Amino acid sequence: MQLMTPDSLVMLNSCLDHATEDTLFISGGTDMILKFREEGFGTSQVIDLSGLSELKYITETENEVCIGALTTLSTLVYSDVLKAHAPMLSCAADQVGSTQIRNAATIGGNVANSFAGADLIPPLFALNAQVDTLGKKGVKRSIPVRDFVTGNRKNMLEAGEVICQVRFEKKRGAQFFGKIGSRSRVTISKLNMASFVQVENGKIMSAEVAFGALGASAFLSEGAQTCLVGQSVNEIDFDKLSAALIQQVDDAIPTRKSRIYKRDAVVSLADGLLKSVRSECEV
Amino acid sequence: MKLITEVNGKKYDVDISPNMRLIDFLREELGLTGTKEGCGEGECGACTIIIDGVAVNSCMMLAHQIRAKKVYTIESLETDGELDQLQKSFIAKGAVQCGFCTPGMLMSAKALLMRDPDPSGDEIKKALEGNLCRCTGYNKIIDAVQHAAEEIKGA
Repeated sequence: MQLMTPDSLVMLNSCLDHATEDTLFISGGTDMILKFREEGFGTSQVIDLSGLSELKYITETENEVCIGALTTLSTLVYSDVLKAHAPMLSCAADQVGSTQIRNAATIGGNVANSFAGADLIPPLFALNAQVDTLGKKGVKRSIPVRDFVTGNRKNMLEAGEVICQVRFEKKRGAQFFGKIGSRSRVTISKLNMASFVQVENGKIMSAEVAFGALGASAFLSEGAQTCLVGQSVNEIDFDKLSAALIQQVDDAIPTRKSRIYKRDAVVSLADGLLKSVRSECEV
Repeated sequence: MKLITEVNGKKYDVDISPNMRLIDFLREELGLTGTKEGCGEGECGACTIIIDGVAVNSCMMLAHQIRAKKVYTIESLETDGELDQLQKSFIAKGAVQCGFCTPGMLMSAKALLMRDPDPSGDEIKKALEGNLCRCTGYNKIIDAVQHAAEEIKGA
């Protein structure tokens, strides 16, 4: 194994130029060390990104929130910027693994790993976030996260390309993240859901509802959107919303044994979504 | 491959394999065997240490990832033969049975008290959620952390 340890973006550029199809990247290590344990290190080339302090930040501009790829999940949990503009992302980060895992794992790693049950991806879908990358010869790309993730552990990253930043527009709206696992904490999602609902004068104008751990990759629920948009908040029918989400489960995993469990589980997420929308209207 | 780092206040300049895990570096290269390996996959927390003020699993990192960082292991808690208040409280409250999880528990608790000297019961539970104990049933461990916080506050 060959380990490269760039401690600046200038050094990273040079490392990326030497990267091949087989080059692996490590930051927090909470996914990669498991992979190494299972598959061995072999003769792989590994680039350790953990020293890139230039990519550890949460900043806000007039219109956007920008999060450096090396920002840890613990930093997301305690960020005042996220509490103000993306509470569902803080909430999702807070429910990943244990304190030790959150202190090491990074937002860039969670997105780049593109695991079907990843907890940060549905909130980023609901926020319509952009993924900014850096590749060979300094080439930069900006890809909507909804296009970036293409399957379970599959995404649009090319050889020698890394995520530098995730960013999203600041918009007012009701936010909710809910997760169901086999226990209440330190658990991998069996089902998760993030929603971003914009309300004007008591009427729902937009509803971005994203599911995770329901098929190969996160996706936006058209059923939830159809059910919610145009409705008056006071008149949302919980049973109709639940039915729309259950239908989404049926459509996404029609033959899986877990479908029966997830049909029930999704109803509690519908409850959380609805409460977030009602509470937004009370503010 | 060269690694320059600081562990328990002592500077090291060593040559180690690029694929060595941090826990192996601590235990096998530095002889700091207080840090234990349980599951080796980030579930049990027996290998918890403190890096730059926060608790992490040393089995989930490469040794080279501590370059230019400050690392503290369980061995750092005792000073000149005197135990840390957390260690005293674990003894006083009977929070140790087989003891295998104890170093990890203590380091998670230490990181918590460094950040928040007056944690609530829920905050203690959250700080220790990544540390498994198969003997005590956790209540005595939580009591011990609360006791340590009170003793430190009263000192």
